[in-house]
Amino acid sequence: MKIPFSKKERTPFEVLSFISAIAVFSIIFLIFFALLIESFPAMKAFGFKFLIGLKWDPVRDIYGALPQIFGTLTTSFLAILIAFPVGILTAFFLTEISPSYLSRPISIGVELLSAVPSIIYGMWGLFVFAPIISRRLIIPIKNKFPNSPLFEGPPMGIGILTASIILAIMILPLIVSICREILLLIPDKVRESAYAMGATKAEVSFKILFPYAKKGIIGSAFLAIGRALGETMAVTFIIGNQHNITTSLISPSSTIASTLANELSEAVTKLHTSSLIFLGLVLFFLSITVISLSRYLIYSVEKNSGSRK
Amino acid sequence: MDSIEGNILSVEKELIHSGEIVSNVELMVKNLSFYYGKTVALKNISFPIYREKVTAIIGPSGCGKSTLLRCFNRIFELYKEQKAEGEIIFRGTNILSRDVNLTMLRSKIGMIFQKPTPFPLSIYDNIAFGMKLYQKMSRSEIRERIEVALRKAALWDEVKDKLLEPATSLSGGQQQRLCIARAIAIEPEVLLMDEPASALDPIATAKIEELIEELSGKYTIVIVTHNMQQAARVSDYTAFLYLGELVEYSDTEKFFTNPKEKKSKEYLTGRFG
Amino acid sequence: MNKRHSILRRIYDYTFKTFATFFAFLAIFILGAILYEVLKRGSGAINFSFFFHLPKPPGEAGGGIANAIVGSFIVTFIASMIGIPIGVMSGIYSAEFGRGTSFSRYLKFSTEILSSVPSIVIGLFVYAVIVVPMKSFSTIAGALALSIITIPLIHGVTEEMLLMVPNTLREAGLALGVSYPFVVRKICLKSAKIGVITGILTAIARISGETAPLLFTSLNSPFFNFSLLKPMPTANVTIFNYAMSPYDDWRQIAWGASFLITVAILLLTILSRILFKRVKNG
Repeated sequence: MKIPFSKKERTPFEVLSFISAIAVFSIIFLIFFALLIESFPAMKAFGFKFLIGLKWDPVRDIYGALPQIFGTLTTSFLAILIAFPVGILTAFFLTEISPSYLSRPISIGVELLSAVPSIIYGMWGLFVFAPIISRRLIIPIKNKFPNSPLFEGPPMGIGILTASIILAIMILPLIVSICREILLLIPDKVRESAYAMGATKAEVSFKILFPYAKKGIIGSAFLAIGRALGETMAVTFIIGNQHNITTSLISPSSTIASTLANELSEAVTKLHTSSLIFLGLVLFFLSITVISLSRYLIYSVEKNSGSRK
Repeated sequence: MDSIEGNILSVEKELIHSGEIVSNVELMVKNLSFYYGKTVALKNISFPIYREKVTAIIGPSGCGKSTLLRCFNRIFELYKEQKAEGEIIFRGTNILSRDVNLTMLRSKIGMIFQKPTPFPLSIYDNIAFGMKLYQKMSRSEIRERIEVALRKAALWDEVKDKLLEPATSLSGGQQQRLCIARAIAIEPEVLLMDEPASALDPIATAKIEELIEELSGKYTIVIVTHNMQQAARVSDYTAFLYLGELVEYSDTEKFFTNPKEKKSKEYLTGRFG
Repeated sequence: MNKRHSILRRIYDYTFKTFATFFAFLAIFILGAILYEVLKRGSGAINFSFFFHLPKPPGEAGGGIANAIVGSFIVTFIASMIGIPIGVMSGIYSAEFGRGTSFSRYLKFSTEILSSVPSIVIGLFVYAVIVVPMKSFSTIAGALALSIITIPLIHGVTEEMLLMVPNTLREAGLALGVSYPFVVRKICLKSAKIGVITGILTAIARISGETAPLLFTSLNSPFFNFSLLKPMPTANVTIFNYAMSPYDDWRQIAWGASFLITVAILLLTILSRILFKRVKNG
């Protein structure tokens, strides 16, 4: 239904609604341009070298973003590596295995997990989880493989590994809820015909339902990566905030978001501020790319299931 | 041979049921009742299904005919609130009892659904999926059996050049025959068909009916249909259900020419349904 | 039939079920572990002075975060006052006045992207356009950052709820001879009301937990502040500052504040869930 937007019918209400729509539409572009303009000084000073520079040194006013970009990508990648299998299996549990009296409370629990604010994950991660990880996971591994480059450095419990696990917990609800919805969109007849051939739950889940939902499931993974890339507070608490590139999972590192959180309110020089905003622009691009990709994948699933009848 | 299967065969020889010649009976339904939660959908139904014959289950919609069919492979158990009581004897074992291995049961009793349900895989993989569940086979063996199954389902000539294309690219009638091929490939003894042609056009329907006739010598077929002409054309025996009760069961010819029950006569003459 | 194959199949199936069940319960266990720690450690910090006193300098016992609690309310309130009308109005445009137009499709896409932009980037944006020109961190900057986070959420839920209103209702209204905007206001919005309120509650719950966009917009302050143009203390930023400090007293207070916002957010979430169930059941 389309109602003609003719001139004489325009009421203030309608006009306000239109203005709001334009305002909302333009926010995303305003964000882009504001960040772009404010990053000019840094762009002028470092150019492309900003993205591949290894040193982030506020004292000498030299800025290279590779350590943060590395930290951001590594933690997000490890987080999805952990969260994806857990998430998809949890979704399979909710839709294919669980009796109905269990699936409701567990769904609600997962939903509440996503409602817990980032900073609470930070508190819990720093004061409760990091010591446990250090004692129960890192020290035993270090004892077993004393020379492993993946576990080099003091076992403080803060660093890339812990941050990635916390990130994994934070993005898990997103994966579970989207996968669950997509699995529920699959018509029951598909399940029935697979079970009718004598397939087990595992076979139906992996060989039939997974291919059916593949696009959407991968879309959910990208959406989760997008969330992980920009996650700030929890990571800032537990990553250790040192600008270095390392192969060690237990050494401190930093991400784009954690660097912004730590340094922007205290930045003194114009170049420092501008470099931080440039860093933000990089994050903006990374997340928008990943998110657009995920939206595209999830959309195409929803469209398909909409036209299939 | 699987031990469970061996057991079943030995029991079968001893089983004699109320004077009937058991060896001709593939499935014996005894006092079967069915519940959706607290609603009764089937009331105390008993009748035999003969080996390598076509048995049609007919009746007006909502009479429970699909429900009855879904008892034979216990597919209804996917839904927690559905429950069957009574017995269905298949090779001497009550398949409704708890300790039946569902996987084995479903490999012996295949099912075709109302709407074609191709899996989101290639034509080849659709058929290979079921076969691979039960046996480890070499590639050439799989290919061979896929061809056999497709030939039996009268689909081979139409798809032999595009086995690797997605099954969803086939037409509705082809998809349904693919589902039949998929079921046959597991080498079942019984085929359950739930209105297999109701979503198809007349030509595709004719092909499916033809196929049913061809298959009837090799498989025991139970077909649910709301189309009386179809039942008359393809089946050897007919069971007429009304409101969850078995009104009449007899030879198809007898049923359609000279029904015993008043309800059957009314149904055949289009008084209701 | 191949017996070994059939046993392998069963093992595969059991493994799958076991892992899936384990992971589902693991998620719940983690939720429980987090809530348990926050409640246990936080409840110890909650007392009279926590709610009613100003922060004390490090080393001095006692002190509270009265200013930050008030500040959180003020910032969240102002953010809602900005975000709700804009979000609802543009949602109305998408679903009603501009329904089906290509602009409303672009609008939908841009709000969905906006809803996934990291909140710290939104904070950065407000820093660039408000804090830098005004040369001061301020309440209004923090509120603006939070409002930008609420807008796509409220826009989306308003649009979705209005699209659920059946067209027959609109036609019936128009058939009475009233204007279309009037129908939207008096009929469509009325029947979408509970859904929209649910969305608003969810959005408020979401921004109550946000810290990152406040770090360099409203910043923090050890005093009460009622000015729009001065730095504003909030419970979330206080947690961050205090948790990172070396003083046990301060960390204790950070746990107390964590307790407070966790309880507040869980209550808001549960409330919006209950409301949402009412929407679903008609």
